[in-house]
Amino acid sequence: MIAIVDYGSGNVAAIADIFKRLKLPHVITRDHAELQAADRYILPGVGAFDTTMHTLKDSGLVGLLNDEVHGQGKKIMGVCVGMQILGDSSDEGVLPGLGWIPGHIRRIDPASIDNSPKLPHMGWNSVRIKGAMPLFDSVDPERGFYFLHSYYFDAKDTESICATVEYGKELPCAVASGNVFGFQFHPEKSHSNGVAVFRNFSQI
Amino acid sequence: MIKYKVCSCCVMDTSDANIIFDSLGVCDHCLAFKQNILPHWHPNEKGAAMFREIVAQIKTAGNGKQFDCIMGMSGGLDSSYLLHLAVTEFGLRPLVFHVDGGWNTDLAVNNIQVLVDKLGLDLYTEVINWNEMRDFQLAFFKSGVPHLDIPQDHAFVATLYHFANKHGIKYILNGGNYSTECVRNPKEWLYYGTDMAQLRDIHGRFGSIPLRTYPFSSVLFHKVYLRYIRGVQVVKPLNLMPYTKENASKVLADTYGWRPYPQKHFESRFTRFYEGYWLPTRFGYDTRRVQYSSLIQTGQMTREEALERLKQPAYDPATIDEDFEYIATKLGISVHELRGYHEMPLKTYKDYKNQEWLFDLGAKTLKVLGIERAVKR
Repeated sequence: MIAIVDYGSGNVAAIADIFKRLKLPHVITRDHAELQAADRYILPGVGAFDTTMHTLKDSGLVGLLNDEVHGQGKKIMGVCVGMQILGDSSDEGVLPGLGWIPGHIRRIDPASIDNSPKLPHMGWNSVRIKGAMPLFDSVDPERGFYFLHSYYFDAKDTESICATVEYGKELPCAVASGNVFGFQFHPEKSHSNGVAVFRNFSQI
Repeated sequence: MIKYKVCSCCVMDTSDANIIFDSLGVCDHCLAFKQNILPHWHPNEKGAAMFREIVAQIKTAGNGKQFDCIMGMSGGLDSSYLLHLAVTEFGLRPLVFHVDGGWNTDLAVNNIQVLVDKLGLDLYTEVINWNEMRDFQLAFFKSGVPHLDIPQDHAFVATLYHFANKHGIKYILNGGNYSTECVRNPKEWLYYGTDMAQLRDIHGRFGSIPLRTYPFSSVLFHKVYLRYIRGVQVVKPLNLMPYTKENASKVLADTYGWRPYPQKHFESRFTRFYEGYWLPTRFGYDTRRVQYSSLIQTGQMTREEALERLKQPAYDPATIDEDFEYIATKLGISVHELRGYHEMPLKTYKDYKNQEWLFDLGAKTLKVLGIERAVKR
C-alpha cells in the first residue's frame, strides 16, 4: 500500500489519479494508523519551503515519518517542494528541512549564468540520468518531465544526484539516498514518463 | 474577383470573404456591435450592481469550501486583470487554473508567477500530454486549414470544464469581454473549436498516434450538460465594469510588475507564430484587423492608428527564421517540411467533415436568447 501523505500541501488528487489508473493500492491520508500500515510514501508539496515545513510540522507527522522511513526503512518519494524539504535548508526560508538527504536548496540564479534563464522554470524539459536508478526504468530522458520551480536541490554528496536538467546550467533534479527519493519535477504531470516513475516506485 | 474594400468605420476588409457593407461603406461587424452588443453592454454602475449580486451568490455557494470559483489563467491581459480584480476588488477565492499546452512564452510564465506570488495564491497547472498535442497540431498543419490553433484552444477549454465538473465547482470566471473582442474572428479564419466531427476527421486522416489523454469537450457537454444539468455558470465580469486594455495593462504593471505582450494572444509562442506569421502570409488573414476593430468600436483606438499599425507586419522579419526553426524543431519536423505546409494548397473547414449547421443553429439560438451576443459568423 502506497500512502500519499495528506499533510495539507501539494496536489494529492493528481498523484492518486495515476495510482488509480495503474490499479495500484493507495490511500490519501494523514491518519497515523493508515500511514503506519503503508509500506511506501509519497510526500507532495507546493509553495514556499518554510510554509511547507510549517504545514508538515503542524500536521504532527514528522516523528511518525521519521520512525517509518528511518526506523523501518520504508521508501519515500518527495515531489517538488516535497523533495526540497528532504534537504537540510533553503535559500527560501529559515526553517531547517528534514535533513534526510544532505543538501541545501538554492534559488536558480539567472545572473550567474551566461544564457540567462527566466524564472520560474516552467514546462517540459529533457533530463540526464546519472547511473542506474531503478525509478527511471522505461523513462525516456529526451521526452523528460514537467517542471515548475525556481529553486533546486544542491546535494552535498554528488553521489546522491540521480538526474540533472539543463536550465541555464546543469541542475540536479532527482536525488536519492537509500530509501529516500526526491524529484524536483512533477511526475504526476509528466504523462508516460511520470507514470513509469510511480509504477517503478511501487515495485522497488 | 472581389474588389478590395475596407470598412469606413473599422478596419475589417474583404480578407473576410463574407463581409457585407452598407451604402455608407460600414461593415456588418460594426452593425452587429451597435445592434446586438451595445444596447446590452453595461460597463457601468448597472453592470457593477449586477456583478455584486453574482459575487454574493458565488461567495454563498463557496462557503466552507477551499475555493469559491475557478478561473483559467493564460498569463494574457484579460485573465491576468480578471484575477487581480476577483481577488483584490471582490474578495473572491478563485482556484487559479493554468493549462500548459507546451507553448508558454517566458513572458507568460513570468506574468503568471508574479500575479499568483503577490496575491498569495496557489497555481493549479494541468499539463497536456506533449506527444499527443504535437501530433494533433501536426495533423492540423497537414490538413492545410487556417484554424491551426484549435488543438491548443480546445485543450484549454476542455481541461477547465472537465476539472470544474469533476470537482463540483459551480462558477467559472472567464476573461472574455466585449471591450477588446466584440468583433469576432470570421468563421472562415478560425472555425468552431469544439466541432468534434471536424477535430476527429482531421486527426483521423493526418494524425499518427491515438489521442488517449488529450482532453475533448463536445459542445453538448459544456454548453448543455455542464450548464443546465450540473448548474455550472460561466461568468464574464469584465463585461460588467469599465475595462480598457490600456488601464488594465497599467494597473497590472504598476501593481505586480506584469509585462505586456506585443499583441493579443502572444502569450503562447505557437499563437505568436501562427497569428503573427502563418495566417497573414499563407491566407491573408490578419487577426489584428479583428482586434483593432474591437478597440475602434469601443473607443480605445482610432481607425487611423489601426491602419497605420497594419502597415507593419505582425511578425518580426528579423526573427522569423529563428521562429520557423523553433516551431519546426519543437514539432519534431524539419524547417523544410514546415515550409512545405505553408506553401501547400489552401483548405478550409469545408474540406473536412463538420457540423457547421448545428453550430450555426446553436449560435443563432444563443443570440436570440441573449446568452451570447458577439457571435461568430
